[in-house]
Amino acid sequence: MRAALLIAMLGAAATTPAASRMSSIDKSKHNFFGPGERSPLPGMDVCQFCHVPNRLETAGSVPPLWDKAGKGHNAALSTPADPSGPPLALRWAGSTLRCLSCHDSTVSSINIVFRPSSVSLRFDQIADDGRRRDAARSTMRAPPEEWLASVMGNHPVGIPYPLALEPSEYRGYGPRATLLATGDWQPDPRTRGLKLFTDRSGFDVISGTAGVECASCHDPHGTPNKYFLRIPKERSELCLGCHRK
Amino acid sequence: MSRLVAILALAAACAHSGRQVGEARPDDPSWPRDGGLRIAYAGELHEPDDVGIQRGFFARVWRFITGNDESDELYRPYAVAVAEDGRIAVADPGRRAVHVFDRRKHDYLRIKAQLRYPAAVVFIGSTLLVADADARTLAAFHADGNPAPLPVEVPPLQRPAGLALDARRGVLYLSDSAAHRVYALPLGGGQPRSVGGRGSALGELNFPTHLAVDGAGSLYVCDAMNFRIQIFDADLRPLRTFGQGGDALGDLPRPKGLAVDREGHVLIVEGYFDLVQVFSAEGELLGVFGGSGNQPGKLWLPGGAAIEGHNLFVADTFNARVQVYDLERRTP
Amino acid sequence: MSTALLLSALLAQTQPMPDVRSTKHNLSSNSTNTVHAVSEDGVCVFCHIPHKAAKSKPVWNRDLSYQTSGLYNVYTSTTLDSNVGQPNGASKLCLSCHDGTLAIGSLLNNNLGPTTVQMANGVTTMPVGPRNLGTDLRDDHPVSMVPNVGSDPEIVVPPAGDYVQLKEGATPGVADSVQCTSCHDPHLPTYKFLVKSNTRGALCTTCHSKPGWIGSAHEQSMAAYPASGTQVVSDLACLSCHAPHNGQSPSRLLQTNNLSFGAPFPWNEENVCYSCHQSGGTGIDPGTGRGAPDIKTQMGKATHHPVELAVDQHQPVFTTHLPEPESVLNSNLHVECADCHNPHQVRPLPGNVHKGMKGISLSGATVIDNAAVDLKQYEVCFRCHGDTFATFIPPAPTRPPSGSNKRTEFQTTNGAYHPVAGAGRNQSSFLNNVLDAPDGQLKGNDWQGNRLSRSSTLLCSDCHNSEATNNVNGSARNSSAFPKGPHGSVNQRILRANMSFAVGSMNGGPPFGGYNTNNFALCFLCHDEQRLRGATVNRSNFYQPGNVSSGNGNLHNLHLVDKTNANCMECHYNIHSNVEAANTDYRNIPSGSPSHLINFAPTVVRFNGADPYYGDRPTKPRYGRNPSGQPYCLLQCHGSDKMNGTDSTYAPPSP
Repeated sequence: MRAALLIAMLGAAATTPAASRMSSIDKSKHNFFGPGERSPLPGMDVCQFCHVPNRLETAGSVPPLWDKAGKGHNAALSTPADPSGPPLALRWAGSTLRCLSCHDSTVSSINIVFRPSSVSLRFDQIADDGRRRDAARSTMRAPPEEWLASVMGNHPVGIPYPLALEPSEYRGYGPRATLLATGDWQPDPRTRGLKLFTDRSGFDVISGTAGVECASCHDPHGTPNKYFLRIPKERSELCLGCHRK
Repeated sequence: MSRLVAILALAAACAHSGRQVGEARPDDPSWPRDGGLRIAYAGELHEPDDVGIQRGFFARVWRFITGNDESDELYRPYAVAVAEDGRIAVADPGRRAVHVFDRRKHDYLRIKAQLRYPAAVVFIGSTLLVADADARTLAAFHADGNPAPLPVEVPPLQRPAGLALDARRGVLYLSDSAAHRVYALPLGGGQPRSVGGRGSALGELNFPTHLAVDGAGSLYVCDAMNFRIQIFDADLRPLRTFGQGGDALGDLPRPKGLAVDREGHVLIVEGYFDLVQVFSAEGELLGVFGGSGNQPGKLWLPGGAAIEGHNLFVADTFNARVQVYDLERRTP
Repeated sequence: MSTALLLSALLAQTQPMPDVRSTKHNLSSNSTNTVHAVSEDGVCVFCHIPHKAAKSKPVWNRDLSYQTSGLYNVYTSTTLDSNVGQPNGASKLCLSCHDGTLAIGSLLNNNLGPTTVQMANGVTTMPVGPRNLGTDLRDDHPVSMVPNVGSDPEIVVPPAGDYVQLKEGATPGVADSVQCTSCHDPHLPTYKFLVKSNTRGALCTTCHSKPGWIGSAHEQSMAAYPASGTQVVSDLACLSCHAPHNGQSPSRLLQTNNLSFGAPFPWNEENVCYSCHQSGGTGIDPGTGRGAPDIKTQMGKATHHPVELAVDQHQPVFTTHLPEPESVLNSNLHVECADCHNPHQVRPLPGNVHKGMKGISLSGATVIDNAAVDLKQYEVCFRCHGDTFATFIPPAPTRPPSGSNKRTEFQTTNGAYHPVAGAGRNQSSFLNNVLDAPDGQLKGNDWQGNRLSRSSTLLCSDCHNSEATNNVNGSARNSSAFPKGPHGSVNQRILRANMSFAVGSMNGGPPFGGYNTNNFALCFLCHDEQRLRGATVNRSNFYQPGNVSSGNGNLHNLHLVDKTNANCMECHYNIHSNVEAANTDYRNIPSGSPSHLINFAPTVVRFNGADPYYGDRPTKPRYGRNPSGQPYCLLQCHGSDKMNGTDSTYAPPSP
């Protein structure tokens, strides 16, 4: 619903040239028409590349030929990233997964090869599916030491943030009942311009449920800073927005 | 052996003879419960043991001495290819390597060779070709893992993202996503031809990634940022497109891997909703299977796909495995 | 928003930040440290980068290929209970700068900036100095090891909630190893990035639980070290002797820092102690009024325990590590300070200076000083001067005597012995009198403070001590000298007073031309000289009324002064006991009856004839009792036959 509204607003903006203005995303690399380019067709807009247009309710869908009786019921679609719905059981099912679906070195030159150890600083037991022999479980472990030369690490996402210096649980992952070192964290990074999320991908974060995703540091719509960063990285101010060291 | 016998189901409505009724998964509301074509889950590949490749004696001794060595396991499989001789190649950018499983010789090989981001793999006979998106190169390897000379002339690349082979016509197709072009490289050398250019009209591409070729020589291109599949003929003339972005069934908000089965059905791995969507060659949606999760049969940000006979291999990236689906009947 | 950011950025530069930016690890161009970048203004980037890092935890931005190469020399020691392997876990991260193999500005990824950041002042790798640990880690506290708490009671796991923690090691997710980050947090604006202050050894003792440390001399000492400084030994604690990094000893991380005088001593075990225990080594402890006892000067005297002879031969005896690296019964030729003193438990006099040591008891069993058992001094001495004495006292045929097994000597079942291990054989009241001065003044007290008597025991150090302790009679413990102890003396045999060893010979006559009390100064510290020379009443039992030429009947006086000028040693050759009397034949000394430490020097010759009482011809000089119970001697005296038994029987009046 929100997406439809958004599209409606921006679609309107796109189709009235006199009232249109170049937003930061238009000039950024996330404008997949080409940076600075405009949409070639009415009805297509720059938002649809990431914000999947909502056609399920409005345009209706053609049920699959092999599944006419099922009326196109799609289990995956019944659990969207909806702020008011239940949280998805999987980690990274928040906005981060959307970033990773393109940042795999094919569409984007930036490849973030996420490995589970880069998600969490601790052993991740939530995603441990006891039924699997090794695969899914082992991906959630830190890589063996001898792999160091061949793998690359990334800052963790999909993890809780101790908002107001209280331990958080995010997407079913709450590593600690009490914080180890409260002096290591800024109480509220949002005051510095960074973002935190609820595990239903909403912004109504309260202490105890706050989490970090890619979009905590990066604004995919474009910012005056390099790399879509919300805070410039000079003098490590970005790092120090959350970390107190 | 870890081949599980969970059965996934698709309803059959087309007049294909010989298809039988299988069992629906009772806990998965997306599968229809009436009869028809079923797609069976044929297992997963995570490490050499899964395809019956036992480690050699000395390898097992070494493993015992040094402790459990996980380095034969897949980590972030992104693309998969199957050779005529049954070898399976899995591009694993998380390990910066390509795993090669030889099911006939019961042999396992891991090719590192300074690969930075192996994004696509394809077999040309017994030679393995790897597209390295980060290094912007194409590399070729013999069956023993040693480098081989390239069988094609490669133009300067910006970001090689997909590979497909038309064996009958002797053409290797290579997509360059940052250049928004697809190249047709004749085997044995010769002037590459290309098609594309950034745009959304027919014949134009916006970040083409995965590729597939059907029996007739048509080239199927995953036109990622146009959210569609574009089909070219053997002369690289654009024929048609289908697909659009959106969240309805059959939409392609994040199209990934691409494969065409023996009957000409187009199987597209859809990365946004973790599905495999099956289309007819004309673009009509036939069915979907998969879904988000890490249980058997579920996918989690899947990548490339490959077909061998009636088996579909899907690189299930974040589940660190390649899942195998049997596109024809399978009963428990 | 941007104004607020700008303001905070400006403030960041003008105020000292209580975080990593105020530490030496701020390598950015904005810092005032010696090691800083020319133009790179990022602080975190020298170690961390959010994408394309080497290691996800903690997104490390330096190449770690050397650190995983297995090329380090790691710490090893005979008292190490844990297995120390190549560095793993967080220690590799620290080593990626602090081993000097990689330039400080060499990064894996710097986004669009250079991956080799230029540092100011020509700095490339870690500058040479104590912070560059090098790749030889044998002189540094071991890391990347799982502490083996089961085998050594002195190694404990830090309590929950402590700032010192075990960290992840070889097994991801399991915090079981000691790493650099157990003690250091590289972001903390604290001294040396320590997670906890090490004043009074608080950091070290989190894991190293040293029994007996509290209350020990080193833990209590308020002496300043260096002498001119303000820091005192009790605050320095472990760091007075140990160096967690860049230690000098092959193991156990000891250092010879010699802080009061500048350059460290060359490596030698005793130089660790001499850093303080030399003249002017420390300041004065206001509580005691003295600094550290100057042992170095003692060890430079004419005779001393030769600590300087051996280097790296000593293994700790007082360790709880099992098996013990050095047998309690020493078997390789060396002596060090730590062979007698446990530096973690030593108490200053009048406390137990051997606290925490191990020893050999009179019966030959190993004794451990602990709360239940207080070690006796002789038990420490027996470790070298007991059953294994031959290792330490080389044979010296020209210098009698040449060492003996003091454990067999001091057995209380022997016929005569100086009462070290127990009260003496002679329990007669007469002995008490010998220890008394004729004018009623006490000859001195024993080491327990009681008047010297037949029930007293002695310490080895009542004879073997610094010569400064001869300013009192009785036990050296009662002397005001400082330091005391058998460390060194200007006299031979580390004796606290002069004792002549000259003996006469068969043809050469007596050793002295005349009597000189100073020849026997050692004996006279306890034994009253006048009794040995005096007249009727106050005398010893070596007395024959009337039958001697000098008239007063005192046979000691006759031998020492009157007829001859003998040396005590000619009849009392081995002062410790009669057990090894090689040149004496005892006859009819009832068991339990004292033989008065009479054993003849090798130069005394046997009697050339038959024993008048028993008829046999002894092959050695004889001391015995005739059938009536009277003591007699049978020997030749400078060729004379006067000691023919009949004439050399004496019968002291009743005691």
